[in-house]
Amino acid sequence: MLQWQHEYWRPRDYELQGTIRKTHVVPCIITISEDDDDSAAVDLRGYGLVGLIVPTIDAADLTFYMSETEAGTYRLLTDGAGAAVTMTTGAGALALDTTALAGLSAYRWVKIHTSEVQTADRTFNFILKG
Amino acid sequence: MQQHGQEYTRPRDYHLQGTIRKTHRIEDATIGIQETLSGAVDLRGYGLIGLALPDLDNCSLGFQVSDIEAGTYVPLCNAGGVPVAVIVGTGDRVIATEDLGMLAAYRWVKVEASKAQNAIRTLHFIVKG
Repeated sequence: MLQWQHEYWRPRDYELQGTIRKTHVVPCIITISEDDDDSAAVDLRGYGLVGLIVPTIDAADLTFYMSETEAGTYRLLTDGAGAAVTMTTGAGALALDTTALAGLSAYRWVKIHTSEVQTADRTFNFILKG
Repeated sequence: MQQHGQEYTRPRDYHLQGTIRKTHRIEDATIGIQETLSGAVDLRGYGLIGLALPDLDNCSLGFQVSDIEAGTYVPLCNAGGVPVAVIVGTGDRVIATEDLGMLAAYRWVKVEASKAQNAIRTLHFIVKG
């Protein structure tokens, strides 16, 4: 009987219920008065899908440095062959393919590194879905 | 007996509890006559993305994304900095989910056809959370 009551009150579309992923935009800033080719650390928290909108920049490639804690040691993100995960972004003003950024998915603390120094502050935007 | 009691109060579909994906949300992206770029579509928290295409003038499709609806839309590129493109020919097909994975993290999206369309084209994003 208890089981029946449970069934009775279940919404018809019970199997379609649930919560969609949270979305979040996180700025990641290179402040040239502090460092002209490394950003401040950004917290990707529990978000597993990562996008990145790149502003107009002095032409450069991007690499990523990751740490297990905010104040920890940031180490270069590499692929299984030992090569740095690199994004060829030229002068920027583009967004990066989510699948190309899949290597960041599990990590929490990240810094962006540009291969060339930047002559002005740059704000990248991480687009995240949990 | 205690074990039995615990089992009895457990919902029958216990294994389906939690945060399963919502399904069958459809978001329309419309390309106007003699235009290449659609209006903005809000993919919100949906991470699995499909795209159903009507008949099209032969083209490939690219995408522009923004962090906010009224923001600056920039081309979506691969790791080599090359804009991603999906070859769709004359349309009337759906695109495999894995081939749209590049969009998964983004929320505000516009579709860009490589060729101006001779009629209004309404593309349907089919998404799951």
